[in-house]
Amino acid sequence: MKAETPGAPSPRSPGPAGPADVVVAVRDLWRSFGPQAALAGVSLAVRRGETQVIMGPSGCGKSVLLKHLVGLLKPDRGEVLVFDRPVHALPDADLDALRIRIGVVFQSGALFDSLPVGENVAFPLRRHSPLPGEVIASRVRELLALVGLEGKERLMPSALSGGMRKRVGIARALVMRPSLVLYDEPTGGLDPLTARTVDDLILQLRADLEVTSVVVTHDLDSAFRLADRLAVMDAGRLEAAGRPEEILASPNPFVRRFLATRAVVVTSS
Amino acid sequence: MSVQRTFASPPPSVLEAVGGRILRGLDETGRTALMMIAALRWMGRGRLEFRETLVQIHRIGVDSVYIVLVTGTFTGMVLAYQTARQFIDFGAQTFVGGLVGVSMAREAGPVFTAITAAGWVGAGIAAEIGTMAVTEQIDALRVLATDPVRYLVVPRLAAAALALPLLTIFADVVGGIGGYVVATAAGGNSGTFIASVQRYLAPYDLVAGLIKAFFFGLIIASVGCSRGLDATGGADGVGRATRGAVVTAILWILACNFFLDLILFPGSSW
Repeated sequence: MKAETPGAPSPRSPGPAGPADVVVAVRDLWRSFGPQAALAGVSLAVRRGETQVIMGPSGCGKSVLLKHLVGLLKPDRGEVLVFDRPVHALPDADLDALRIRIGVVFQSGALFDSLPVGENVAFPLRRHSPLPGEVIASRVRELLALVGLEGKERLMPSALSGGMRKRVGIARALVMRPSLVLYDEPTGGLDPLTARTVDDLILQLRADLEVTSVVVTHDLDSAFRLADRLAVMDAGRLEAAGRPEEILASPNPFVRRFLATRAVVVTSS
Repeated sequence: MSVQRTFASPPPSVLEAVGGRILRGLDETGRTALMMIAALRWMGRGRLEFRETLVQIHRIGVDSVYIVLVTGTFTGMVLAYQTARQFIDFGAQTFVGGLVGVSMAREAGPVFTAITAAGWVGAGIAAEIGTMAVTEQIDALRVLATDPVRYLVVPRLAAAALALPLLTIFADVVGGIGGYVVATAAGGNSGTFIASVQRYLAPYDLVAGLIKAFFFGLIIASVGCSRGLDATGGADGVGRATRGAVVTAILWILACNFFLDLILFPGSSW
């Protein structure tokens, strides 16, 4: 099944993205693990200020794609450009400089177990900024308040619930004021109420901070709530990409089948 | 109900199994060596994480004191027990103190301390870093523009290379005391034991033992870090990394001990 052209304008879309508008450009990306192709020729463009949601079933390659965007994995073939920099070909020092401009929220939160919440959030600032301790502490308080966890600086990660860990992970990802934030299954493993809270937080961050976001999820509710643009993946391929209404109208059999698993979302949308 | 037939691949031949194990061993050794080179590069640039290094010195050194107290003391006691009675019977009790002292300083002190640390420290390092690897904390370090080798490996290498010689000195001392207690309890003379130590134990024996301990510390930390960083697959992967770190470190310690003996005591072993 041929994918729709990623980033292609729809009748209701604002028009073609100029090169300056594209924050993330993925071109013909291939990656295999042994005989298994995790990515098979994926192309995608994410525009400045938009929230691009990549959805698909577990194991379809969406998290692998996300890891390529921040250089955690190298492609077998293809290109990944973030802020016009070739992530796949950058030397370590340049890659680190680029990573400072990108916030990543991991599926599990990936908080450092040995550090309390405040130090987890402060970690990037302590390592990469010359700010004095009081300014860092103030910034940490501000971020924790933003994610609804004010006063939790001294708690250890082991004392946090799944939703709190995710929110601390979001605070840590935002502390360097990144212009691009990548979310890996932000609502995965959360109860519906907590998942809604995390979704609302992501929407609020987009509105307040105007960051570009890439969200990987298999949660359809969350995907349609967050997305400016959607991409649907299956077995390492992009089956469809476009605005939410275009995805809803997609004739692609896999997309229809995938959307049918949450008929209530489709109809309500 | 249909009957499903499964076709399992035939078990590997002995040659395949041995060859596979050797290849895996070479692969692991190669990755550990590359990690060590990267760590030495950071050290060469003077990029030490002082706070983390101090934390690791405490964990590796201070927290190991009690276990080394026990292993060191009993090692010295066994050495004295096995030799004192027979040497005294043969009228050669002037050698007992020297034998215990030299054995502790050259071999028993550094080797038993290192083997103890491989189980205590090496397993801890592999489990901690392995857990970080399978819970995406290592990936988080990378995306926060922090090299895991610099942040995790270098402090552990530095701490183990410093702590193992200090622990070995401690083991030598408590082993000597344990040997003294047993030798005098077996009928030996206190002054003779001490005089024997002074006569036969050369400063070089102590220094050679500490040189060995320095290398054993590097082995324990590097194997533990390498196995931890390579851990995959959840709790099972962490368990495998931990077991592998202990076994591999002990094998390397014993093999390196032999070659270090050849270098540090040329001719004396023959």
